[in-house]
Amino acid sequence: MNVFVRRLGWAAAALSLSFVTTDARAQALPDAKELIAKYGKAVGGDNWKAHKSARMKATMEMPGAGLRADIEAMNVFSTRAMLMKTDIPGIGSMMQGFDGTTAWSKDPTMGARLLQGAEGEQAAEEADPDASLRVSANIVKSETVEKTNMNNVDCYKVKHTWKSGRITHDCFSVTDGLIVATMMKQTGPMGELDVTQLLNEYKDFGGVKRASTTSFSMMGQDIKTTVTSWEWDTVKPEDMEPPADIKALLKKP
Amino acid sequence: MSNAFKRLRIGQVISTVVASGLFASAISAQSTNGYDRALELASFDTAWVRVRDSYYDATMRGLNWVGLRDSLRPFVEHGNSREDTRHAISTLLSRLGESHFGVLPGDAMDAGAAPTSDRAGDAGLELRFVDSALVITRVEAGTPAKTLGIHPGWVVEEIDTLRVLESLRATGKVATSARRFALVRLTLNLNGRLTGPAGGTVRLVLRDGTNARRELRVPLRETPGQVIEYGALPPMHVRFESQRLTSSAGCVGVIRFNIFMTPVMPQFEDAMSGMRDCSGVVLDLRGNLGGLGAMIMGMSGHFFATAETLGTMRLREATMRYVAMPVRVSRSGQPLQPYEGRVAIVVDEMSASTTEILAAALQRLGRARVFGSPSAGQALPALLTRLPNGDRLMYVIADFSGPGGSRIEGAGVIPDEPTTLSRRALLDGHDEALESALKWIESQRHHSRGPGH
Repeated sequence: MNVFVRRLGWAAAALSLSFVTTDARAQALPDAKELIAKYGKAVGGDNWKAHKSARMKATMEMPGAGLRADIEAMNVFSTRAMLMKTDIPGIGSMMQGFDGTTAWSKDPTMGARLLQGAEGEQAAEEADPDASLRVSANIVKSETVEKTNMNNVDCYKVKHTWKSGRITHDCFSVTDGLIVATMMKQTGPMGELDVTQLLNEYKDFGGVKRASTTSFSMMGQDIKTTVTSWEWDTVKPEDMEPPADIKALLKKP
Repeated sequence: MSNAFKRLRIGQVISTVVASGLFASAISAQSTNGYDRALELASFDTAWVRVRDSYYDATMRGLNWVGLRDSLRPFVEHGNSREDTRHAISTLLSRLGESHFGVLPGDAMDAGAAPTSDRAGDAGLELRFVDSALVITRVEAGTPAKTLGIHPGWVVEEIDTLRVLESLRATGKVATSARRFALVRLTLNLNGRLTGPAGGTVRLVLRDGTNARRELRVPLRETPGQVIEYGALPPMHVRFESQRLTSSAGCVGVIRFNIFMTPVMPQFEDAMSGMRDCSGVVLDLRGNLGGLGAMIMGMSGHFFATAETLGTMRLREATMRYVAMPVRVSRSGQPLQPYEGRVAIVVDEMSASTTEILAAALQRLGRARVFGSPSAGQALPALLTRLPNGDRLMYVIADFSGPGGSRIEGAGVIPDEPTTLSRRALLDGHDEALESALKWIESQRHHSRGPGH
C-alpha cells in the first residue's frame, strides 16, 4: 500500500516549496522512468507481482478529536477488485469498493451509491495493483518536475498524468528512491480536496517494503494511519461480497 | 499493497466527522484540579494558533489577531485557575462573533466519557421562554412528571436553587447583537438542569394553569434512547420517534429525533418506508441541536429524485457542497424511490446547526414548507480538539450558505408559516406549530404530488 491519507494543498505548498533552492532547480533532473524503476526495486516490486491478493489492516487516529478508526482493505490483483471498510466508533462502518467494472460506496450518512464521473474514474484507476508501483497502464505520462524537500527528505517530484486526465504527484527520495510524499486532488461527492500525505517508517511486509505510517493534517486536525498487519493471498471471494444494497444497485436494469 | 487503498477517502471521512451542532455547548464546568500555568499558557497558545490556521476567513474578519493574543495572554500568565484560561480563550473566540466556537471543560467531558454506575436521567420535560417566562412546552408520556400532573403551559420559576428570572435578567446585560445567542445558551442550560442521575430528583417551583404556586420534587427517569459515544464528546442519547396520524387527508407521518447522529439513519429509512402511502410527512425538528452535517445528504435523498445542491461549505482552501443523494434501494436491497408527498418541517429557536441546514435547504429548494418559530441562526461546520490542559476547543472550519447563497448563521430559518408560542394554547393542550403543519398538508390533498392522490 502506498497511500492512506492525504493532506490539504496549502500544507503541501508550504512543505514542498519552502526548501527549493536556485541550485537545485538548475541541476539536471533524473528521468521519471528511472525514478519509478528505482522505486520498484527498492520496495521489492517483483515480489509484489508474485502475489494474487493483499489484505491490509490499519488504524487511523485523529487524536485531537478523540477519534480512532479501524481499517481493513483487500485487493484482488487479477480482477482489480477492491473493498475497504473503515469502522468509526459512534458513526459506523464506511465501505467502498470496486468490482472490476464499477466503483461504489456505502456509509452511514449518505447511504449506498455507485460512484459516477471523476469519482468513479479515480476509484477504477487506483484499483489497478500496478498503480502501486507507478507502472499502471492508466498512467499515460510521468515526468520529473523538480528537486525539492518534503517530509524532511530531499526528493524528486514526479508528475503523473492519468488516462482520466487527473494529475497526481509523488516525491521520490534522492537517497533511497522511496516515495516520501504524495499529492493529489481527491474527488468525492462534496467536491475536490487537495491532499498531501507524508509516508514514513517503511517496513518489510513479506518481501515487499511499504510505508507503515502515513500522516497528514486537515482543518487543524492531525491524522495518522498505522498499518497493523499485512497478509498476502488470503482474500477469499466471499470477502469481496458487497452489501445487499450495493448488489441491488450493481444489477443491470 | 495496491494503490487501490488510496481510496480511503479521507476527505469524506473528515467531512463526515465534521459536526455542526450545539449539543456539546451545554456542558458546564466542574471543579478543576492540578493547575499548571505552563499548561494553561500552552492551551491558550494552541487555541489561538488553531483558530488562526483553520478559520475559513484568513483575514480573521479584519481583527488584529496578534494584538488580541497579546492583550489576552497576560490574563493567563497572571491567572491562578483554569477558569482564567477559559475566560481568556472564550473572550478571544467571541471577537469573531460567530457560533460554534467554545471551550468545553475537559473534566466534564471526561466525566461524561468515563464508565459510571449512574444511569443518565431526565425529567422528560422541555422548556422554552415565552414572553419572558420559562414555560414547559412538552411533558413526555409515561414520565413521573406526567404522573405528577405537570402540564405544558406551566411556568418554571425555580430549578433546584436557581431562580430563573435572575438568569434571564443576566442575559439582558448581554449586547443586543449577542442576545439571541445568549438566550439559546440559557435555554440549553436550563433544560440541562432537568437532567441528572436516573432515580434522582429535581426541585421545581412552578406556576400552574391557574397561576397557583406548586413546589414539586420531580423524579428523573432513565433517559431513553440509544447511547452512543463519539470522539471527544461525552455519551449522547439518540432518540427517534415516528407515528402515522390519520386525518381527512389520509395518513400523515410525523418524525421527530433529537440529534443528527448515525443511529437515526436506519430508523429514518424505516419510518419513511412505512409512510410511502402518506400524503405528507412532518419533520418535527424542534429542539434538535444538530450533529453530523453529512447526514443531511442521505436524509434529504428521501425527498429528491435528483442530486440537488443543499448548501455550500467554504473552507479556507476548498469549497465543498452538501448534495442530496437520492435513495434507490433500501438497506436490504429492495428498490426504493424518493418520497413524493408533501413535506413540512417544524422548527423553533432551539433548532440549530445541521437542523437549520436541512430545513433551509428543503425550504429554499421548494421541497418543504417550514412552520414554527425562527431557528437559532447558529449553523457553522466545526471540529473539536483537545487542548494541552485537557479542555476541548470547538472551532469553526467553514462558512456555510444554503441554496441561493445566503448564510444561515445569524439569520436562522424563517418559517413560511410562523407560529408564536402561547402559554394559553399550551395550557389548552394545543401544539400550534404542529397543528399548522398538519393543517397545511390536509389543505394540499387536492394538489398533492403524493402517491396517495
